[in-house]
Amino acid sequence: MRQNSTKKRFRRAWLVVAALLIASGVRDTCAQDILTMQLQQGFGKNKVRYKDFQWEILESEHLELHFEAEFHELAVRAVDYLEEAYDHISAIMHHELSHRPPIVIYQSQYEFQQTNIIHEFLPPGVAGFAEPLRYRMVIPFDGDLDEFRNVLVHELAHIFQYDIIYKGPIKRITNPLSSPPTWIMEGLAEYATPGRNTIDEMVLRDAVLTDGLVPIEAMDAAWGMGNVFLAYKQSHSIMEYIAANYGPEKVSRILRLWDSQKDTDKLLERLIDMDMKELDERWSAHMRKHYWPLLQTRDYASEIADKIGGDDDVYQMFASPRWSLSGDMLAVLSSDGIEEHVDIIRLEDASLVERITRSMRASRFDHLTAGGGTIAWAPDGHTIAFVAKDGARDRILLWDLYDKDIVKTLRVDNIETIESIHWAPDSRRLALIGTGYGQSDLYVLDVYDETLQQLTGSPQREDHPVFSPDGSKIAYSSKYNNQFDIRIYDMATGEAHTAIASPNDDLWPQWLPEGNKLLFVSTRDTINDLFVYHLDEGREYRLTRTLSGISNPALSPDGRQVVFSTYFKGRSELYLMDMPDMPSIKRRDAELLARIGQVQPTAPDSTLADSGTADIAFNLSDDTSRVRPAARPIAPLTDQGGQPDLRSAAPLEDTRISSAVLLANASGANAPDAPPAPSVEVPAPTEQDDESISDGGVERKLYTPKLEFDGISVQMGYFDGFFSSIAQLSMSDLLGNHGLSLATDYVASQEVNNDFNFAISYEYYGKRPTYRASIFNWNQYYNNSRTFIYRGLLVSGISKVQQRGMLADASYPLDLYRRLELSYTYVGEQEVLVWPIEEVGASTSTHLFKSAFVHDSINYGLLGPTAGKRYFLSVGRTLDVGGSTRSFSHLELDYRTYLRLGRWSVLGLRAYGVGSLGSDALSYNLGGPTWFLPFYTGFNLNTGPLRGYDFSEFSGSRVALANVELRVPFVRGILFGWPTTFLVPAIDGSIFFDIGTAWNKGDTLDPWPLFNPDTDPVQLQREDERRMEAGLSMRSPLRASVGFGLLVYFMLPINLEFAKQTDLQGHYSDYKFHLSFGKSF
Amino acid sequence: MVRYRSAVALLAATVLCSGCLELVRRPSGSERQRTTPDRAAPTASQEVGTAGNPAPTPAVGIERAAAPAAYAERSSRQRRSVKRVNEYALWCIENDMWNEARSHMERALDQDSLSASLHNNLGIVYERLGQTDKASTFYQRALQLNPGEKAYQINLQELQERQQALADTSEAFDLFRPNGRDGRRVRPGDGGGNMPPAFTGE
Repeated sequence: MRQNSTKKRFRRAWLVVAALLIASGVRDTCAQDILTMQLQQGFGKNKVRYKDFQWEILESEHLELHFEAEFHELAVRAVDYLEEAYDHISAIMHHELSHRPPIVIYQSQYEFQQTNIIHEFLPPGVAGFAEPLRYRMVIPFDGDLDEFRNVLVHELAHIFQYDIIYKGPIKRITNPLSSPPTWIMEGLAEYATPGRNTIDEMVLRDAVLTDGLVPIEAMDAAWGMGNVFLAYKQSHSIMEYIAANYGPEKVSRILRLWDSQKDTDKLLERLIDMDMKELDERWSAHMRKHYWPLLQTRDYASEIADKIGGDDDVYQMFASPRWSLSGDMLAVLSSDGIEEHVDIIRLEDASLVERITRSMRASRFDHLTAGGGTIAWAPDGHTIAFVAKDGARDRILLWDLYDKDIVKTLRVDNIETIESIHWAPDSRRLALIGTGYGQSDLYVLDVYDETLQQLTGSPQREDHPVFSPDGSKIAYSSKYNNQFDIRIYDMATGEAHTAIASPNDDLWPQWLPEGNKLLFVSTRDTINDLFVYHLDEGREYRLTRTLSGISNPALSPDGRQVVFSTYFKGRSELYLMDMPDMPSIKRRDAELLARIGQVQPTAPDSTLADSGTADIAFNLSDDTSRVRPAARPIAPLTDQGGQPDLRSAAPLEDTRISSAVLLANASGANAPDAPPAPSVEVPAPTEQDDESISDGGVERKLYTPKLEFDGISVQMGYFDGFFSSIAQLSMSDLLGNHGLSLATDYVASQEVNNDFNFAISYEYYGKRPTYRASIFNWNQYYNNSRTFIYRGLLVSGISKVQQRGMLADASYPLDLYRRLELSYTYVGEQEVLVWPIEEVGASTSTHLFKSAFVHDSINYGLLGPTAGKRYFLSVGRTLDVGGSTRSFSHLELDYRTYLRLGRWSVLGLRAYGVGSLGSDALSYNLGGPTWFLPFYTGFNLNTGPLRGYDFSEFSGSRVALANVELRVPFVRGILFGWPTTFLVPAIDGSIFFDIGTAWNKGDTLDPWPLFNPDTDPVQLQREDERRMEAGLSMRSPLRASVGFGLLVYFMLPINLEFAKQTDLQGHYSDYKFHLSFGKSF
Repeated sequence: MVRYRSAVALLAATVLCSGCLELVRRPSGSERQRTTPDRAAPTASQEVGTAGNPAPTPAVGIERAAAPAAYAERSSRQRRSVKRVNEYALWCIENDMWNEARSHMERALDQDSLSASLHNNLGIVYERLGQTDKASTFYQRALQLNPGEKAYQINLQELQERQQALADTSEAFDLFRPNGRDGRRVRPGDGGGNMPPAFTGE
């Protein structure tokens, strides 16, 4: 009876043929079958809430800033930045915001990852976001105040854009349908953000010099797949070009024109009298004129150094190189486009010697921490330290080359992010840059007794620490007023002094073995190049003049070679260069100076503030081998990303007290080297303080959650004579900790339907465990199998099932990849025949308890998993309280692992089993692809895929299934130009083998031979009937299939698959075609 | 492939250093008399001198009698440390990274200058790197520290024979080229009539 009923439940499931999702921010769609929905177990990584945040609000004239109370100083500084940025952006866009945008800041990247404002997992590298529905901005502080300010400005510019474009609630909730191209939105935001840095320049210059610029028409596709960083920089450059050549007012008009002109070509014609193609041609020509003169005076990296590794593997990238004891090998942070690892590679050919982090992700750490110096090879030759995030913060893991294993994990509890590490010569101490609690500072960690010594303390950023050869000093980069200098910390005296302070960024110091010279990178001409600074002579010498720029140099232990990263053709590459001796260094410096002396400097380009030609002119005067003292003006918003104003250069006044330590939570004055103090000081509110405190135009108050409108989703469908519909309204508080959703049906015109369907759900995400509770009352209609004579016609009856009850779920994330789930469900069901006669049917109720353990450490590509594994074990049991309550147990196991074969191919292996045991066991369906339509809202007990068979062809209370699938990439990123420009990011081919069966209690499982597809169905049916008559159990043979498919990603994954049934003994059926949507298993 | 090779190397080193099995067949006394050039691999237990095996005159000025006693007094920690270095050096050699092996063994010598196996193995590496004078010095030092170890004697003897052959015949030069005649790297254990020196464990 129950099996039959469940089968019916599937049949009456509303087949959705049209679905319209409007608005973002809607978390769930209401399932139409509550019980089976609760049995469905999901995968996915966890957003772990490691901290109980205490929020306060600062309200200034134009905005409302939410911050953690302990980082009040950072918040006040942010308000300063934002108010300044508001005026700046308002002037550019000629617009005032219609209301105060809520801005949320986190004191670190890892706390930012815990935000509930969006529920998706935020991977490392996301610098912040703004969302158009409620105009919220969410920004982490990553240790660098200048970067922090830039991100604030960028995201605030987006808020201005939203306010201009999305006037009114309808436009806001339909924003995906009415948004301008991404290159316009991001280009404008970048245009409003102060200056380009050298990395921006490097990316843009490389694209121009290597013919890698993306056509404007195709630029939006770059955000889907391609060089996103280049897309940002190009968009920025195009806006600068328009502003410089057609006037800044044209930039501010773009969004207003968009309101009346949604065609980009026509918009540009109205704006600047040219279409996209013409703008592209002119802008590209302008860029070439700007950058090509550099070819006269600069070298390709390949002219001065040898590339490490070949050109074949364009996706393989190495970063953060560190030398082995002998100099034969390098430890590197490697990425092959799928996974990141710490590898040991051979210097001569970049071949892999040892994969240090093999199988460590998920078991030893959450993910590696990317950075310019998060690997360090100890002078003892056998200890390699690297940084990885595990739990709430970064750890340093010590890997031993002799043991080939992790020998120690160093936990530094008061540091969240570790950005750069370097070993002392004794191989016992590590210098590191730790970021957390609103600061970025230099520390020394003793790896034996794990004591930590903080050496600097200021809100400004420090980076790239390196011990001197005798271990008595540490050289490091230190930022001050948007510019890095190199300072030296004396371990004996505890004092630091500025050693190198050119008017540009001076980065990545490396001690030469003699201990009196520093190799470093400086951003002269906006291009990073190598220099040597002689500490005794007080002179610097230029070592390179490259086109691509140099970063992260690492000197070999004997000081005779240097490995560095450079950027060429859109990717990072490693090069090896011989390190000349001092006389050769001096000769080289003179040669490079003479080289630019032979080039006639041209007039600075008026359209680009940081013109390369202007820089050449600067170099003529600057390359005199004497460090120019740095000017220290307070950088205005209109500066150019750290580029110096040479006219205001003044003698360096190094008044900083190096040993000063300012803890983030300290309420005292800033350290002496801190940037100017924020202009607003606001007293803290007390716990009982319901009323706000106001001072200097800024109000401070405690955060109180208030539910506000998030969005609405509307879905509708039609199946078997019935329309279905769900309208869901979602609300949440500003920080996303509380969520409330209300769902109902909105098609009430059917003659038999006069019900009030609703579901109310509350969710809480404010703590590490998350909770959800729901109540519901839902009615579903379907044509039943009974027939009636009605008005002289033979008709089938219509039944209704009313489901009412409640759900309660709790989920506890053990870490990023694992969690425990627990749920209780009560569902009362009442079946009623409603037409043509009314007849009350069976009434049942269910109390279901379910728990599950879920592991998911998969890397996902566009078309499915690319590496890793996932599995869950789900166990459920109903509470049998007699009467009409259901009684069954539920056991389900799903294990999937994905093995990489070569670079891109993936072999997916899956084993699945589910059983519903008991007197009221549920029946599961098996057959066909996993999903047969997108937006399939009505959940049913389908399992799969078992391709080559009809959808849900088999049913039973038990299902066993295994899948093997090899996916091979065919195409990556194919751009079509007709009927419009669009990108198909990926097409894969697949071959697969499926085997499985569904059976009931009492059936005989018949594993071999497999089901023969040539078997006559009539004969098969007769055999079943014969066994039934004889009282024998039914036979359930295993069914298998082989096939191939084409997996296409176009807006969503589309699977075109052809499969044949087989018994693996030479019998095959004809091909059966399956069209399905969604990522493969 | 790299992992496979490294696993084999580690296994070999473990077996070698644990004294359970000789990497290269150790000749019996009669065989030793009969076939002097044959290679014999030592084991850890054989590092302490064996009576009846007089060592050649050391090339470096260290008191012969005092060295084995000091060698025997090394701490178990030092021995374990040297064992790890030797294992790693063997792995490096299996992976054709002779410089890396040399660097680690030289660094280990700074902390345990009385390890005969380190000296012997460094001698092998230097011989492979073409620095035969240094190799000879290290072989001799190894013999000083552990005069009873037959392998050290053989290593030194063969090196001296090759040096002599090099001096005598121009054809002999080919034997000492870094690469084999067919362009392949010559490794310990490769054939060709001239057995390479035995790499020893702690």
